[in-house]
Amino acid sequence: MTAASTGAMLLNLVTVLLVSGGAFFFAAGTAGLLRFPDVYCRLHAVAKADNLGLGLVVAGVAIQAGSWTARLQLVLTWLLVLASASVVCHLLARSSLRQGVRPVEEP
Amino acid sequence: MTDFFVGVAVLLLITVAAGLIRVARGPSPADRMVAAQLFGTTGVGILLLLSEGMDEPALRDVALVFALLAVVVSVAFVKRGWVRMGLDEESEADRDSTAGGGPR
Amino acid sequence: MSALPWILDGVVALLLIGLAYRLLDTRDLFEATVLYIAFGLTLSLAWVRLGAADLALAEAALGAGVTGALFLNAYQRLARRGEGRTDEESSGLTVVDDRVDEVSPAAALASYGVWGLIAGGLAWVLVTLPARDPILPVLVDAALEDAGVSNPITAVLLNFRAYDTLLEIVVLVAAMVGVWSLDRGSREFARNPADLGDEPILGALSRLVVPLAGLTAVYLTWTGAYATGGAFQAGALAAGAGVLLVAAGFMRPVTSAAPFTRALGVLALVVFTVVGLVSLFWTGLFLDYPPGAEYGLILLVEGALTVSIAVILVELFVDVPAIPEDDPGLRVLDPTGDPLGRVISPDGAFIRGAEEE
Repeated sequence: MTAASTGAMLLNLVTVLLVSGGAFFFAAGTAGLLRFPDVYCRLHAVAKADNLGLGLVVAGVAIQAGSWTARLQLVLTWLLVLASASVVCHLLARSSLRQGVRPVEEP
Repeated sequence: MTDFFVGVAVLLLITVAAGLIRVARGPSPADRMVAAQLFGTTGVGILLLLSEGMDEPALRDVALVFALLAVVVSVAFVKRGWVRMGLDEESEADRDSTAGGGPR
Repeated sequence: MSALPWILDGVVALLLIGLAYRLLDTRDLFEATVLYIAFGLTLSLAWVRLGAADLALAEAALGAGVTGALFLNAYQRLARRGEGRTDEESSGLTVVDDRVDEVSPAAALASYGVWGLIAGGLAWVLVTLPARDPILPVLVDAALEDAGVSNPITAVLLNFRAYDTLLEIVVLVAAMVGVWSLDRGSREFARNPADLGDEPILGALSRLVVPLAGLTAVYLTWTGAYATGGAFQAGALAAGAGVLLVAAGFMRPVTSAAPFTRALGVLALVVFTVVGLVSLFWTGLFLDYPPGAEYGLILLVEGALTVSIAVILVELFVDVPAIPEDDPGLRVLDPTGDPLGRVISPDGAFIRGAEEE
């Protein structure tokens, strides 16, 4: 086995690990969206888990991407989602609060 | 590697489908919008995986457009979508609740 | 050949059908709106799977994004119209008539049977249709050399069948004129200076997203000549940026009452028509571009289309009369009520639950 193919296999392994981790966080986000008791907790699940999941997926895909411009575009897309999702979740939470949706109390 | 990417895309699509249950349940409009937000983020992930899995670079552009338009829809909702609860009382009552620093 | 692509397609198809069913079945209009957005995103994935990235772009930008925002607008208007009224006379946000539930099982079964038969028949026809060699791709490929652009889709849209696209922009301009004729409530958006500066975080996000969306719009317009992209996708994206600018308070809402907005809205129509007439003069055929000038003319028309589509879509979003409000000017204009559902009594007071208190 040549060094080049070993390197490629290692990179493939890293990709599999990263993307699988990403899929796990996406699943966790969905579980949170379905299971958490109120809109604020659900926002928390979606805003955090999904963006982390997307970051891992982007990292995994970027390893396999053919060019540096493609990688740059991948990372920029992730940064955009990161910024926009956090702001949107903030806006949703605040407007919920303003509309009088009460957060759940501790049991 | 192609199969792996497509397989994970299938998994993500299934999580999206499960998340859509929240759209049906609600209860508040914001809950439903959160589910749409989830679809936006996960959709970007699916498209990026497919761009490698199907070897179609154009899908990265589609993912970018997904991400950009998800913002617009959510902002439109925050600005325009709330109608149900106490619109007229909103201004005074809620300014008080937010002026106090809000919940910790 | 693995089964995974088939599974992916199957999940997409099932999701589409499920979403469509629930969308039509639900009685909550807001749920239907969100489901519509989800449907658009799923449809976009379906186009991806069919190898039509152009359509996926258009569906994500126009179908899910801009139309979703427009529906949210319409939902708010409907809901506010129904505010303070009892359910029976409400605005149609939820179906109040419960009789639809009282269908007997036999009738339901018969109905499902009939529709099942029709759907099955259609599927059978589709499957048994004789396969024909697609002739259009061959024709397009043959003519692509003289089209001026190397992206076959742009070649079809802006060269071979340019008059279709010309009429599409006519439709959009007509929509703008239609909204313009309803333009009474748009001032509500403009008259809300309290909103400006109220959203520092939204402002910060807009500073990030709007330039990026603008850049992507230019990129999509430019790249449309040789790869996935085009004026409609770019215009929708630019419109999204415009909506953000208005929502964050950076830009005064464009209204079709403003001459500048009108000029930009009809820009593409004018440019397209002038290009058509010039080519009529040059080659004797309307929209048959002079040889050698195709690329420049297509790019010119695409650029104008992007601008006009963006302006018209922002206008459609912002200019929809959003909230009925007590407008002294309206009473003078229309003392008995208006077609937008604002009921005004002869003495000028609003007959609406919220106002009466």
